[in-house]
Amino acid sequence: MIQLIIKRLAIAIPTLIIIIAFVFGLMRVAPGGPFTNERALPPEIEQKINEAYDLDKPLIQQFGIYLSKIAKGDLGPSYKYKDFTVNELILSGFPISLTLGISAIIISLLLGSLLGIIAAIKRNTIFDYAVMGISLIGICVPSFVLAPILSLFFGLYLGFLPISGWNGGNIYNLILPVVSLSLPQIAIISRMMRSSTIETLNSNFIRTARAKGIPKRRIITKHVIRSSILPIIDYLAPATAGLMTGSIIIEQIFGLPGIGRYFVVGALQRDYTLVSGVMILYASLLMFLILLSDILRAILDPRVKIK
Amino acid sequence: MNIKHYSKDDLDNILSVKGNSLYSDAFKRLLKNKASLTSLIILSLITLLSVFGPYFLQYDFYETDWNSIYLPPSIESGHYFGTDGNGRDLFVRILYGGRLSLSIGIIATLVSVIIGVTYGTIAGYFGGKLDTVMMRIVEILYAMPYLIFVIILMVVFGRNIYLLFLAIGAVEWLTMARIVRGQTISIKEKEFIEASKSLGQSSFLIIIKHIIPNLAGTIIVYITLMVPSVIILESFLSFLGLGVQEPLTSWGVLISEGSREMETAWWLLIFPGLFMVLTLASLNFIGDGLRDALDPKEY
Repeated sequence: MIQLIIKRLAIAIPTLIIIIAFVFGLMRVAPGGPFTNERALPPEIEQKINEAYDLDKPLIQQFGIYLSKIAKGDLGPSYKYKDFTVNELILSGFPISLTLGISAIIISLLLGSLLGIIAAIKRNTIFDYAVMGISLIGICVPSFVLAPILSLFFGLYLGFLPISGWNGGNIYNLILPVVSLSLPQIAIISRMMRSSTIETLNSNFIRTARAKGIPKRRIITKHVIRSSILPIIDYLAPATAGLMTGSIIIEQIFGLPGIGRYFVVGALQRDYTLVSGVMILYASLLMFLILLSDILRAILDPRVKIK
Repeated sequence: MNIKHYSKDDLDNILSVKGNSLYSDAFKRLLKNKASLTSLIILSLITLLSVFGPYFLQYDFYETDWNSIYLPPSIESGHYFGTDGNGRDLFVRILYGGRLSLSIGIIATLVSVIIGVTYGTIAGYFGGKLDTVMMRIVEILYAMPYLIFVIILMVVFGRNIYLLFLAIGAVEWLTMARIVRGQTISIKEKEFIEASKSLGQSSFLIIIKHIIPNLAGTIIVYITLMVPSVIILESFLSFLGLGVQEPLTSWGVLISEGSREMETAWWLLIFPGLFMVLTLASLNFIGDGLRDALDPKEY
């Protein structure tokens, strides 16, 4: 197990550095810096600013400084929000995005796999068709169409739920964003789960279990799920990536001050450090999730040799 | 000895009978699938309307009319889907948006197919260490929030529509590469590839002449499934204000405008959304239908 973790870390850390280098390089290649204004600053002041932010040094050196700061957990000052560091901005947005993301991922995993399993067991019944129909809607209606329609209907016409704002994490404010964020994932996961459960149900070891006379319920909870959940575990990291990009839009639509919004604002305003900071946060989260899903897989699937 | 003599007419008759190719068979099966057939009709209608529709409508997509702001949909006024905050006819804007969304869908998909097929066949055909490394790269990229890369690209290099094609194509090829690689591995073990190798054919020509034609079915299926995801991606970017710019429009732009004004004018959100959802659903159904049609074993 420890070897597996070390092996994965050996891949994850260079990947992270490459991503950081990529983002760093792109932002430097970009025409126009954060201090390029229509009215040019006096050259002395510009030089002072560049010195203060290390922008006068060679690129390689800048990258080195940046990397060593990241290693210490310092993402640097924001270039546009003058009184804030990137750490402060991310810390202020992260709890919101995290709440949103974790609720969405838990709901989509639980609901998606549950629906998929039931649809597979009750194959070709009305329930199966209903689940597959709903999941088709989830796949075809993008979240940025779904979210405004949901808030139009539940928020404005029925007046049940608030349509925007965070309101200190009030549960009613969370419902609409979480639903519109998780529906596409529920759709994908339930389809995956359905087809992998069908495959498992048809496999030999399940027939053996049935022949031994194990009750159906026990076969499903003990044997089927353990094997059919594997594709979902592999899908954990891509699903999270999907939720991250989804949350950028959802935070925009519902006016939530999460990190997705900082990312878009930062990108539009060429706030180098903010964009790279958010990017690094996303990438490290994903690397962590890939590691987690590898470990889970090794635990659940005895065929995976832990090398 | 009983030798049957064929007249010239008989021979002509025999020769004129054409065998059914795999693809014509598949096409027939596709047309028998009701969901796919309906989707095919809807998709053709939307495409034809988007391409030719604007020539027959009395309004232009950039024409503003201050006397008809936020008109609800009605047949009498000629604004079948209503007008927006600048008095522009929504129907014609949706059609223009459709042109752009569909062409981005097709072009970006082609870009990603070219990259994905090249990458996948090389990794699959040559195998070994090369394959391991290439697929490891795909695996890592697969887990990246690639849309974020597209956003950064669009910000860095300006909002250029051609770059948009390229950027989307450049991130969408991963799935294609994976599938093509898997198929290539199973095809390269077949006897005809061995025969070709023993005749001294070069690897490059084997890939071009024997492997890619045998992948065609799979590639077609994934093209129909990839176009919708590209359309969503473009709309996503346009929604954030990073995609297509005014006065040009796409479904994503219209939906994003619509969602801002839905409280006063619901039609600005519902109609573009409807067009987009119909297109996406049709493409998905056609893709599913094609997959079944090209794989007769399933029946």
